[in-house]
Amino acid sequence: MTSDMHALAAAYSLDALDAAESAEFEQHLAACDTCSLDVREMRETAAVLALTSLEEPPAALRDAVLARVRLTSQGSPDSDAAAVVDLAERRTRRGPATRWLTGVAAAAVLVAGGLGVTTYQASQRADQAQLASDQITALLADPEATVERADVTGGGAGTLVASPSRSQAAFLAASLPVTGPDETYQLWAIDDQGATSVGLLQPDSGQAIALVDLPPGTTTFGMSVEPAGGSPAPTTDPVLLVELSA
Amino acid sequence: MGLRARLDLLMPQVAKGEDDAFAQLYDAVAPAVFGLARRVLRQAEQAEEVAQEVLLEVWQQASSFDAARGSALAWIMTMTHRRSVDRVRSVQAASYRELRVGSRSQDRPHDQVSEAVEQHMEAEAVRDCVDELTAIQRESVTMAYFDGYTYPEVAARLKTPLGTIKTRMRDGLIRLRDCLGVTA
Repeated sequence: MTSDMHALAAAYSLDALDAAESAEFEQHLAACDTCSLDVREMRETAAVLALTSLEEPPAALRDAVLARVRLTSQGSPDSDAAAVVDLAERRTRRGPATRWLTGVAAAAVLVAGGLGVTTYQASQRADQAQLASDQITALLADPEATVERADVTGGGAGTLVASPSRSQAAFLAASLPVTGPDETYQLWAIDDQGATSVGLLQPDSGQAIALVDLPPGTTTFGMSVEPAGGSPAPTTDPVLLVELSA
Repeated sequence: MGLRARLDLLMPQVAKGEDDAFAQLYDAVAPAVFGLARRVLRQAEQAEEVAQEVLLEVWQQASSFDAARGSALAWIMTMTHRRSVDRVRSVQAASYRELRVGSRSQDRPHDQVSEAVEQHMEAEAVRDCVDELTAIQRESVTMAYFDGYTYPEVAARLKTPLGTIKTRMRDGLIRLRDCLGVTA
């Protein structure tokens, strides 16, 4: 039995065992030092084999990974090494799992907060609404504008239409969950310095359209649920993140 | 400096949370991660998803990486392979397999060197070692590693007894290990 198991070290190292056999081998592995060494050496060998199959990934992948790295905290050594980093799942988790960078941007938030966004509300002055509406129409009609769509954690979806210069964007949200009386949606422009508030969003029956001014260097657009009145920097995990294409 | 050594040097900085070190690590290892995922999964979109998951996990779990238990390259490629293979064998496996088999004719032939590989001296050395294997050793190792087949599947496809495939896989990997001078 033992020698039979031992013979499976290679197949195990190549992930060529089915789940049942793999589990059986792992049990054996725990008590077999020779096998552990074998597996380690074979894993090293297999890894080098991968060098014969190099392929440059799309540039968008680099942007997406590095943007998320800036927003994601590292696990402690104790955390589950096998934990799946499922982005959708991560976004629903609350607490310190997401590190919104602060720093220089935090100061800028106080200036920028509330200035950059125009939402459609009945109370809004008609001429302002008209101006924003015209700008949004122009954005939507611009063939050079980029369109990115993302689901909102908890329900609904958002679409970001960014101007060719990425200095302005229209954010359209649909079917957003209603926030509590003490909460608001807050929009953020994120760059390598951190997150800058670009305004609050008050959906009317779950729908909202906002015109947002994006500071230069913005790489990602985000939305979080914040205490009413907004926060100088995000205090919860984003419910939506949209990478701006370069 | 070889990729293995380079990654091992970068890992402690990545574990400290240094974004710049991670960006360097990304540039060094992403072609291997994406390349392997693409080989196993065939579809670029699927490979991109796996590559993203793996690379984010590298960042997240950097502090739990233990250099005493192997190289960073082995750690990262093991994750990549495991995840790619899990996907291939997942629920949609049946129809997906058919698709993969159907697209096999478009695969790069074994002896055709891609441009990326040509630029990579390390890869050349690996290829030389792969070429030294017997045909059945090479087939059983590469079908498991690059196609994601289990060893019974390899045996069925090569119409060779299970025990033989198990042994050839082992012999093949050991020969590769010795040829490459890989140590744990």
